[in-house]
Amino acid sequence: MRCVWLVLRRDMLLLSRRPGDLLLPPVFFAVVAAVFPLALAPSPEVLRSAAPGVIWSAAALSSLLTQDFLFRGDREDGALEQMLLSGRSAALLVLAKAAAHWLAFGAPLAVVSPLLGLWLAMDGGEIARMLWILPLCAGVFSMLSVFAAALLVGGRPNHFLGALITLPLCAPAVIFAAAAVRGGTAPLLLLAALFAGTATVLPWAAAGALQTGGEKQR
Amino acid sequence: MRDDAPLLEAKNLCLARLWGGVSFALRGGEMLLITGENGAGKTSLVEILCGLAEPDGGAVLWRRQNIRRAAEEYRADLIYVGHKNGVKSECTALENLSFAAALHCGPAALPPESALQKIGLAEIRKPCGQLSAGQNRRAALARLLANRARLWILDEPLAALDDSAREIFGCIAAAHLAGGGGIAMATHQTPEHPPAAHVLRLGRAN
Repeated sequence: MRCVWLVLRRDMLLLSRRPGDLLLPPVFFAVVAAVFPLALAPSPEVLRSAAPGVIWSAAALSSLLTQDFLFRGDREDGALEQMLLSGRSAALLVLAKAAAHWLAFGAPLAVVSPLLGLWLAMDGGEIARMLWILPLCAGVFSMLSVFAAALLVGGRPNHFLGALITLPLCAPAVIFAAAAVRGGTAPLLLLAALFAGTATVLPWAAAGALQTGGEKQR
Repeated sequence: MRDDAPLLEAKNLCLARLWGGVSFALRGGEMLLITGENGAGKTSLVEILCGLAEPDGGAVLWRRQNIRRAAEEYRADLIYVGHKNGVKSECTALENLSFAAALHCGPAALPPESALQKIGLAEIRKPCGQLSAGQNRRAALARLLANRARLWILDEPLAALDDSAREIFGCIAAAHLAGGGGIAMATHQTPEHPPAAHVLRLGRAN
């Protein structure tokens, strides 16, 4: 597991030296979620009922912005080849990348989302539940982002294809997370199961995609 | 596992678009120079030898085991310096090498500072993005000294290096071969003080 810590630490160091990459997702998240109510009736009830869906949909969209940073830079400068040839498990390397994505993407969202909750007329209980659910939901988005980024690493940058792969897969997480914010244990348990499933399966799938997709196109 | 087994063997490797029937055996203490014109498929062969790419036919063996089946042991005994340096431009040479050395499964050799010093890179605390192409190449080659591995696979290791760096590389390569290691290297140039080397010339005839 030492390699997980090494890759996580290196990725956080790299992100700290590229603050623009770190700030882009939360700013995009805040802008999308803040603009949405302008198109709705200015009634607190309407806003409050739409709020969980708006927030999780904006979070899913903002996770797309970080996909390109996951493997593409490492592929372009040869660092990905070095990692794959280090003798470490590729699935653990992917898990480390997902953990770095989760920290870099999820932590700023945790700061911004309570303010957006207030903007969208959510009450204190809903905001607290949203913060409680955020790590799980961001974890699912991170796993899906890593999987999509690994699938696409061998080709040219293609944001549309990344969105096409990721967003439909994000839909269950958005549905369960929105329902969990409104209350109830069942959606939370389903979200936790979704997180456990993606965290178990997708690192292996992404590792396989990296090893075949990383091959030179001939 | 027999000690006299070749470190690296290629058996009838084939890459349909470029070449076919490539076979060789590289033992400890031997160097293989892979040469050929631009576009002859040197980098493709190097990537196949590392396990980064699949050939259309044939097999690569490490100590008589297929590298696909013994992938973890093979990678722990391999240091690869590719066409790309594998260094992050935001990090210093020391940070890059410390990360690479810690991640590699093979046993540690020289501490990163000493490895960079030995390869002749003085500016180890400057981001690699601010270093020249030759200095970045030195930072990449320092990986050869930071871990102990019997097999080195290199792709144009002398590209962008000045005369002093080429001489240093020649000495390091000679010491590695004298210690029983093997080197497979795609190149247009031969290192300074080249040890006796087998040459594999790639072309349409292969």
